[in-house]
Amino acid sequence: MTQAPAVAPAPAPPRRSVLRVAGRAGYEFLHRVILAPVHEGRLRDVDWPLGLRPLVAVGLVGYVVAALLVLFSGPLREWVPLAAQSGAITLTLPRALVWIVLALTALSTSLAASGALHTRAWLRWVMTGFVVSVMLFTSVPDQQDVPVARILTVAACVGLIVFVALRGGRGYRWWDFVVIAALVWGPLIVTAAVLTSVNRAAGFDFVPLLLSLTLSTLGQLAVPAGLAAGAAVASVTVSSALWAAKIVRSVIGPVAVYIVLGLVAVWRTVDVVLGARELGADGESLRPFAGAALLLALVAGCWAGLARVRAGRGAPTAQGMTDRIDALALIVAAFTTTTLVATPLIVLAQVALGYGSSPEAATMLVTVAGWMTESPVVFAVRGLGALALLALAVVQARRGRRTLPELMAAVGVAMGLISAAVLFGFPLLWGGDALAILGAVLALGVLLVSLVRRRLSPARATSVLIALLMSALFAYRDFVTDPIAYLLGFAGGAVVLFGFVWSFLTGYKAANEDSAAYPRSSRVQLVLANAVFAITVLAFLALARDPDAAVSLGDLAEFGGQAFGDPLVASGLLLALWAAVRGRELDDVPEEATAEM
Amino acid sequence: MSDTTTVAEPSEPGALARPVSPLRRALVWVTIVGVVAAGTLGLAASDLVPPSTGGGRAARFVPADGSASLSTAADGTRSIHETARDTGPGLLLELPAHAASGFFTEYDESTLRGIQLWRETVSYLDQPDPQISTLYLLDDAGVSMLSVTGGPVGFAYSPALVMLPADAAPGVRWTGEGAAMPAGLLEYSMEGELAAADAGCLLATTRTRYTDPSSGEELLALDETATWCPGRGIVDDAGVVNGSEVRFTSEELPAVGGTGRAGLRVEPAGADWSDAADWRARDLGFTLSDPAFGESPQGTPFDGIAASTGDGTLVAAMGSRLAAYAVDGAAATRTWVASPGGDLLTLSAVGDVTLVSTAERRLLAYDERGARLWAVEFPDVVLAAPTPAPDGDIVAVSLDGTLRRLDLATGAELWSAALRTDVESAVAVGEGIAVVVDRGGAIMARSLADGSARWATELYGAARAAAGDGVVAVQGITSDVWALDPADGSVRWDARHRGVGRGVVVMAGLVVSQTDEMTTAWTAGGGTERWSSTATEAMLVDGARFTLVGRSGLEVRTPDGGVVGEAELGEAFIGVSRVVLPTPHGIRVLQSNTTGMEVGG
Repeated sequence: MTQAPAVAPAPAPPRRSVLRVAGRAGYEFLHRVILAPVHEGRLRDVDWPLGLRPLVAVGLVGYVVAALLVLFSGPLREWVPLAAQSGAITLTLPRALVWIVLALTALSTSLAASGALHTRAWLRWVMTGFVVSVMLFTSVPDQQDVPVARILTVAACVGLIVFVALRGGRGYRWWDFVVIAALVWGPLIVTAAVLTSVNRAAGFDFVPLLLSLTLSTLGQLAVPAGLAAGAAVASVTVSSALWAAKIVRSVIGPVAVYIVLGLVAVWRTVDVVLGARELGADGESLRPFAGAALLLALVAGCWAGLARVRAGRGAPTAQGMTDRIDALALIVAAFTTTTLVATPLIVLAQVALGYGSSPEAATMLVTVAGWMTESPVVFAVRGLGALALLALAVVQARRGRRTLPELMAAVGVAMGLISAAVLFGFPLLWGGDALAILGAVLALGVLLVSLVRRRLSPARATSVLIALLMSALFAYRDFVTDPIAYLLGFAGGAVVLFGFVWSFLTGYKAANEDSAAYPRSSRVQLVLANAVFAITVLAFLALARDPDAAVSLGDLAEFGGQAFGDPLVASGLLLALWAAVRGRELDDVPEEATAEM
Repeated sequence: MSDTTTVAEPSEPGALARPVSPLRRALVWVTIVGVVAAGTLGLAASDLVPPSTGGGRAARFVPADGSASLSTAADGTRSIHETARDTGPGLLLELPAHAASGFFTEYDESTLRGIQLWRETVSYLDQPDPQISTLYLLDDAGVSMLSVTGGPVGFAYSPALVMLPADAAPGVRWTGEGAAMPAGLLEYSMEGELAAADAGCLLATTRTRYTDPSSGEELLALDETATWCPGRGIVDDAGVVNGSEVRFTSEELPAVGGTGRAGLRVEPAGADWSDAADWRARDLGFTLSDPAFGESPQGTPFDGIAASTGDGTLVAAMGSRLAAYAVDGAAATRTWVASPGGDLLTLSAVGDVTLVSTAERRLLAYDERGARLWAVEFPDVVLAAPTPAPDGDIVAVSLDGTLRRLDLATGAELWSAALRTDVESAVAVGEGIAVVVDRGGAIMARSLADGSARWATELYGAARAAAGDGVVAVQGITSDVWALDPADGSVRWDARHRGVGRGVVVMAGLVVSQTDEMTTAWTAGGGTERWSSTATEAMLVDGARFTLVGRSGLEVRTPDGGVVGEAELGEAFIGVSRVVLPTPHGIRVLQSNTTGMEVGG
């Protein structure tokens, strides 16, 4: 989304009806918080080549089907007969829906292979290798004397490799996807048919197990999307607070700002007092608050450092940060998630074992994959990612950019602190509620000082109101996901579903751009593949009602909220408080100055 | 991120420059959508092929797996008929060896792998007789009787005795003859005819004679007229057996209500482990005992779920069925079998009642002789064992958060509450409340009296709870333990120890938490740590002592932490799952490789 200027003041008619003002305020809020980010961040038909539109349509249909499976997973589990395995495994799946989840998995695999076809050679061949491994992996259960499914799969894999060698990097053609889809789906259909015909006759039902095996292995690939989903609630929180206050001032008027500020100040004062009682309960309760203070201090310190290395003046904007957090979270999560490397190794090990390779080779691959997913390694990589983010922030700042370097620095600080807590037992890790309380305390402090000094201008009051609203909405952030949670009846699922859908609608601006190395058609297919696969994994978890069936996306989203959402809120609070201290309104940036941020 | 993206020219300027005809555009749409649609439909077609059912037109008269009917004889005595259906030799393997051995030579391996069987088990409610099981074969011949076991006279038919021919229709006649017992001890001959009955049912009139092959003497004459109805089996049967008239009629077994038999114990059984100092482990041998076919070893492996009833009966799951064993010393002898229907998820016992939940979203109860008491449907599956509540009730919660208090004897619902969240841990009952912990760490307390909401709170990582001695103890996924005030859910104290949480109990003024690394006890009132142990596998209580099970042994502790008994179990083999159960006078260990141990004095 283009950096938003302040809402243009409404022309002042002599008398404005309450309804009209409320309507305009409501529309402005809806436009700024939802419609504009969606308009800027969704996939848009920017000179799409022939055939890309139907591909996007197919991907969207797949996405909507998966989302509906998530939303209606409760009733579906009630209406559709469940398949389960007695004893050790309590995974229960609505049996008649298994093929849909398999089809969605095949669709995302086809989109990924087709999307990578005309990108840089390394990505093209890495993706092809992975898709070939997945195809071979799904055919392993065919253990017949004449393994038709295996033979056909091997032939299809060879066909795919030849096709990629012939067509790779030669520019998008609409039939690329058709060929790849035929090569991916064909063997899968035959495998399912073979497994069904052989096992059903003996009283076994193997296809749900095939789906379970596939998604419990490949589900790890949804980890980046799951982590990034955690930032969505914070993004909406910051954006809502920002625009609620700004619209109150610009649409209703400065007096309304003072009134709302007074009400919110009372509300937050009560919250702070109640929070303070818990604070005094024991020493342990102090830690999250000390951690929150440390987080704010370190982020502020980094920003001061960035301001020193950056040529030129200007401040980052809160709206710019909310616009960028989804994409940044996804990229950082993708580059710091070790399971993205470990999963292909596990798939390769299974394929090697299933196709008669030596068990030693498979064991070695599994050992390496296991090592990569151990907590110390996972968080060491995240710690290194934090350092890389800080270094990138400096580089970006040196180039004169604003907002993105500050956001990178905030996320880098947060990831660094989390990694230090896990790896070295660093004791001062913030809590989300503590951060909200601390933000309220600081905002109330600024408000008090301003009142004492009689310098509570409308601009300053607006900034204080933004900080207070931000802390309040963040403290009660469940308001965003609680309605979905009630509908789903699935702990953790609401945050993930909201995050996925929000990211899908607002976070794919980069896919509308183009470059020789990563053409727009490839970007569109790759983001679709990621989105469809991630929500397919969520649909599988929701239908199975088991967070451990593949990968616990709810826990990942919670961690993503801490790693990406909390630093965004901390940044928003710092910006609002800094604007208030300077007597300015947050994000009060001239229109022409916003484009370069 | 737009900031770092290099914007270049579109990748395919030529394609963009050329105008595309609407026809070509439509062709592209149809091809792309078509290939995805074809792939999706192909997957659907290959996955949704219905399994073929043997038995021809007779198959539709066979009841579904897990169905049950109440049968009443002419003299008023009642019995419950329960149906098990399976593909493969599983039901044959559950027969006494002497009854089954002939079938494994009569049918080749590929036939046995896909053999379709139907077992009807009769549990008598008003007579002390043991269960009688009849095994039917569904194949090209129709529905045929393979064996009758459990009664004073047993049958094993070769070829199977056709009860309904594959072309079941009014006017069809059929005949059959063969051996009715192994080793040619008894022969049968039969003839039958079908006629139309009401509501799509068929009237099968059969004349069956059993003769001694050596003497030719007719030993048993059976003339019967059976009414077969679709999906219900025989609903009315009138006949003459050796000159005596017999008749029974069947109706669908009511879902709730129980059997009305007196003497059913519905309170949790007490245990007394005061002799723990003398405990030692003895290997259990599992046998099948049949009045006609004699004793044979149990061959079917156990699943990983089992329970012990109040009288010490062991109930274990095998495939989708239950088998109960009376344990006497080192011998466990099968006493009854049951077929709840569908895959089994949890198995537990309260008093004499065995409770089992299935993937068909049902919770079922069986009495001490294997007669089905009730079957209650939930909106989703029940993943945790129901918890005993006062007055002979239980409280159960399904995965979708439907919380119910049920009368254990009848299955009648006292109250129900929809929590609308996913719950997999057992309900904690005590202090007048039922406490549920959902997967997101939300803790909800409901009144035990009427299910009304009492309080709710949230603790990060909370996984399961136990109630009693004035506290609600909550164990986290990891090593956190909280003690809550039952009145309002406020945290009284919290503590931590090492590992991933496995279970928590409250007893004798202690909160005891077990993880995969250790077991620790705190005082319920103040949270003072009292003792700890290295036991990690299971934790059982008898009201006065804790039995803590480790990987290779167990120890019995008193509330002050003193170890009053120990026993060596040995480590389970790799791939073998182990279930540890309490018994009135000790501990029982059941392993999936059909072995077990009885630990006691």
